[in-house]
Amino acid sequence: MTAHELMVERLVRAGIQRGREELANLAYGMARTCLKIAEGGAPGSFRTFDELRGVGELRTDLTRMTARVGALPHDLSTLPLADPSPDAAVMAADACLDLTRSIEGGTPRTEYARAMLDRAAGRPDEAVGRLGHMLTSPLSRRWWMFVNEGIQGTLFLTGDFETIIAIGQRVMPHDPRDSTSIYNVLAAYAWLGMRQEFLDLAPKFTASLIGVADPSFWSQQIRKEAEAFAGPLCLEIQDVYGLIPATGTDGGT
Amino acid sequence: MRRAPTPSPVVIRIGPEPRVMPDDFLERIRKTVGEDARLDLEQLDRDNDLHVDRAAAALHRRFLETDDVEAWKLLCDLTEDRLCALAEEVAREQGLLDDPSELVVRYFEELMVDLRPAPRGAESFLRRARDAMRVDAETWVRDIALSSARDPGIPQVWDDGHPTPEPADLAQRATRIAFHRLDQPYRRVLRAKDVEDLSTEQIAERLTLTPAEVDDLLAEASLRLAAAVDRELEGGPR
Repeated sequence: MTAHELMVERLVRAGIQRGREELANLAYGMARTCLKIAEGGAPGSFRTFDELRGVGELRTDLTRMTARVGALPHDLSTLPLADPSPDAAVMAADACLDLTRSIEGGTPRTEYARAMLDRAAGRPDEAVGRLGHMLTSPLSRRWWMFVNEGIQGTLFLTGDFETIIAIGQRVMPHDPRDSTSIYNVLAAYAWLGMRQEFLDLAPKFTASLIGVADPSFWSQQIRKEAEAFAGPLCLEIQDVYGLIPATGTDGGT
Repeated sequence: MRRAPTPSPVVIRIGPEPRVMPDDFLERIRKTVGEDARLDLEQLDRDNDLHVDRAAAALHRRFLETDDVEAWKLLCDLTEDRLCALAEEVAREQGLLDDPSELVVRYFEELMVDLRPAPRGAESFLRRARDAMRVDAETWVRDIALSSARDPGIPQVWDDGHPTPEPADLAQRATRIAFHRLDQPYRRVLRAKDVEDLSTEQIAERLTLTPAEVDDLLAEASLRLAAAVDRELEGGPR
């Protein structure tokens, strides 16, 4: 082959590969949008309409990119992308994640999204298992923190507060400014009625908010939890994690 | 975030002898773009920028309007050598040490994922490509200058502060980074001398300087580069 032919081949190969990567990005974006629909927002809410519009635009882009780089292993045309119900959204997100995985393999973002999908589909134990498995592979620091926060957040659904505390205590020394992780541990302390531990950790949480864009919201949250360790605390946790507090578990002293 | 490229004057190249493409190549382009009034070429001279531009613009428009990947592939074939020459000019101007052909690869990658509507008007494909590659080269130089030789680029399991091992090619990485942290005039002369292997007189002619000025510039550039490499290897401030 001539130098020109070799270069043209290189350009075509690189361009098609880039197109496939973009296809994976679009499918991943579609999966995340469907996941938001599955996780919350009642049908007919503004959020759902906004995301459905996003789904429509993404579908157009997906169709165009498919035309450029070739056939997809998954037929997205049969997906109920216009159906705003959570079940349909879960199905659509699942298919889109399959497409992304088929192009880029099991990357942190696809595995994490699949864990969140498990959670949205009412399978928190599978979600925790999948996130825990991610920690056995090399991860950037950013993903390591993200996965640990995901595990803690999911464990609230199963009520495994002891594990939340154990994980949080492992994570916190590495990033004392990780407000979310500290908040999770504080909430777990509250659920378990560990008042002194709660009061000891609360200042660390306040300190972690230095530099945060809007610390007042979190400060108000934590002040409420410190001042009223019973009913209002459970309402805060419900608000954050969508949980309904079990009867009698008010964390009061 | 990339800034919009500043349009630059078009430098039309028309070769001393026409390098006419085979008739079937022009015919393939005509078949791909369909009825396009702007593609009124009787023959396609690859060394005539006006010809190349006209055919490239038609192919590009076809690709953006219909996602016809054959149009994109023909565009690669038609413009590859001209864009590689332009990329070399850009690399020379920016003092970019890395392979300039990578600028062309990146440009075609961006074309592949560009889902915007086809541009209106008779904008020059070659000029747009050169301006985009120029911005890309500036960004590339800056990204290299802002990187660290000790950054392995490989995710590590966060395991209680275990020290990150140093990359095996640390000295080479440090030199590349230090080079791109130099000011542009120093990068240009060093590249002309060490990569293009030009003589002092040739460099002087290119940069409109005297040979003595070039020698001074080279000496200063070498000193600065050595100091920058040392700083990078020590992991000190830039």
